[in-house]
Amino acid sequence: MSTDDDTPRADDAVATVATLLAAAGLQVPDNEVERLAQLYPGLRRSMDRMYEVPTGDEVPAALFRAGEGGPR
Amino acid sequence: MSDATTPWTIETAAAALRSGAITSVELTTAALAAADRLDPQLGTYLARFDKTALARAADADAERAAGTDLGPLHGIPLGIKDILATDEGPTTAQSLVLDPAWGEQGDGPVVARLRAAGAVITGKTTTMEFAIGRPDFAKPFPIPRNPWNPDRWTGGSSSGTGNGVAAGMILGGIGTDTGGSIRLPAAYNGISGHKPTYGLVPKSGCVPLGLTYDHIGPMCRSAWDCAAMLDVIAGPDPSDRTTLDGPHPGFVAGLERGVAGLRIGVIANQRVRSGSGPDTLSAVGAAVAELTAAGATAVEVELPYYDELCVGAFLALQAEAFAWHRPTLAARWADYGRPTRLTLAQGALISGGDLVQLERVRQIARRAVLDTIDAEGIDVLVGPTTGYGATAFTGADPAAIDPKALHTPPWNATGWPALSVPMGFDPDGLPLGLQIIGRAGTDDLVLAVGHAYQQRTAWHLQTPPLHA
Repeated sequence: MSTDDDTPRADDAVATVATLLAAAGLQVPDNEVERLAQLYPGLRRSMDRMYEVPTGDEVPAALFRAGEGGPR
Repeated sequence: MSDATTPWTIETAAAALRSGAITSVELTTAALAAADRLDPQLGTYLARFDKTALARAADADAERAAGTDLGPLHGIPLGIKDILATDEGPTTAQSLVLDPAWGEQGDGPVVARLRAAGAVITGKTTTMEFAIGRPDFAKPFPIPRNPWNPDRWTGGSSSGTGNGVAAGMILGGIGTDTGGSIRLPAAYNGISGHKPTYGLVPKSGCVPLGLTYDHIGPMCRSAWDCAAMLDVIAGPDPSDRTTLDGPHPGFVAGLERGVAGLRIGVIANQRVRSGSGPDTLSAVGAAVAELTAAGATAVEVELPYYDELCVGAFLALQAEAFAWHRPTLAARWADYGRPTRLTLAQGALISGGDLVQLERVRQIARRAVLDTIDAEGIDVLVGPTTGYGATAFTGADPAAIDPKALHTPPWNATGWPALSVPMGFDPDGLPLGLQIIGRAGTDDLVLAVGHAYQQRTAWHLQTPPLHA
């Protein structure tokens, strides 16, 4: 997977998705890996479009403030 | 469960209880009898609490006889979506996966507040598994069906609360909304549903989905009823550090402000137009005409980054949901329903950098939308809740099940209040929903606009063929 390249080709998508799922510790049957691989190029295109928004130095919503207490 | 001509609302039932025209035991008995008859067809309940409900109703009647009035929810039958824990029984999240021990925590703040206000909790209502995905016929849970046409879906994920209110089995209930799960079933079932400002209602005691997109809110027949429930469940709680500080305005008390002088922005983005059927857009036009006839002015508005808010919300909530589910997905993949696990697993395909970027875009987009409505002097936005009426279980119109037909996710991304109210029917006789959106913290204004609309229309009082 590359975010500065074109959308992954369909035949790459199965391998990419299988790798990502395995890295996440998921044991997914082949037919469901294939289904996710069908969805993956669209997901990737949607995600890559988010990088076209001029976010500059915008800070994410999840701010970290050292002075705040954490969950109890 | 209704009088001779119109269905009960919380407002009318509370008045009848106060006047002595009906007792809570009678109201609750009728609600349970309606469930006996309709639940097998509609799949509303995962668990019923008949015994404790009737006992609570009797207590409410005794309290009222002794001069105690706990407010408009006192003695009113309500349902709770089965992703919130309650004292009475198990919480399943409509899944084989959720550890039964999770539900043993009992009432969270929302349920506890309803109970303290005298509500009669009749049971736990159906959902999509873990409040995500689609109806799953392969799992041993009820399939929620639409009382306007049982071959159609209720919408999700607060399905049982939606069809239970529409069918008269309960007068209101609790739903949750991460991408539209209060407003979609409200629209599909022809009722009102309010997603509050993020943080207005504490979320502890509820199984999380998208941690920064989740909202708990009321689903009822009317905006008045939603305001009455929100009056009870809103407010900070130390168990949820995302709750907003400070007292909230009285939501029922603010309902009669009317719409005179308000400027209404009609969302005109291409995604809304192309993702909605002509009947839906026509109904929005008629609803706007009602509001302008009541003294509001209307202007069309193109919202910046609208597509990014829609798409980004789906992506980010999948990543957030995956974070919570990863251990159980890894251990019990096959025990999840296929629609659920395939949706959750997409969160594993989004990188850490992607999620940071989604959050940055969310901030930029929220500010840009706010700047736009500030510049236009807009008080509230309106548009369709969904582009089409309830979808069929099989052979659904592809346009109706396209994600572009769902117009709710942007307001989970911004965290702003959004109310869905009935605004008419499609040619198949299925309800359509109008969405009313305000700035953060203006739930009172949003509900007042919905109430003003419902003072001029009776869509919210229409009853489906399958009704008590």
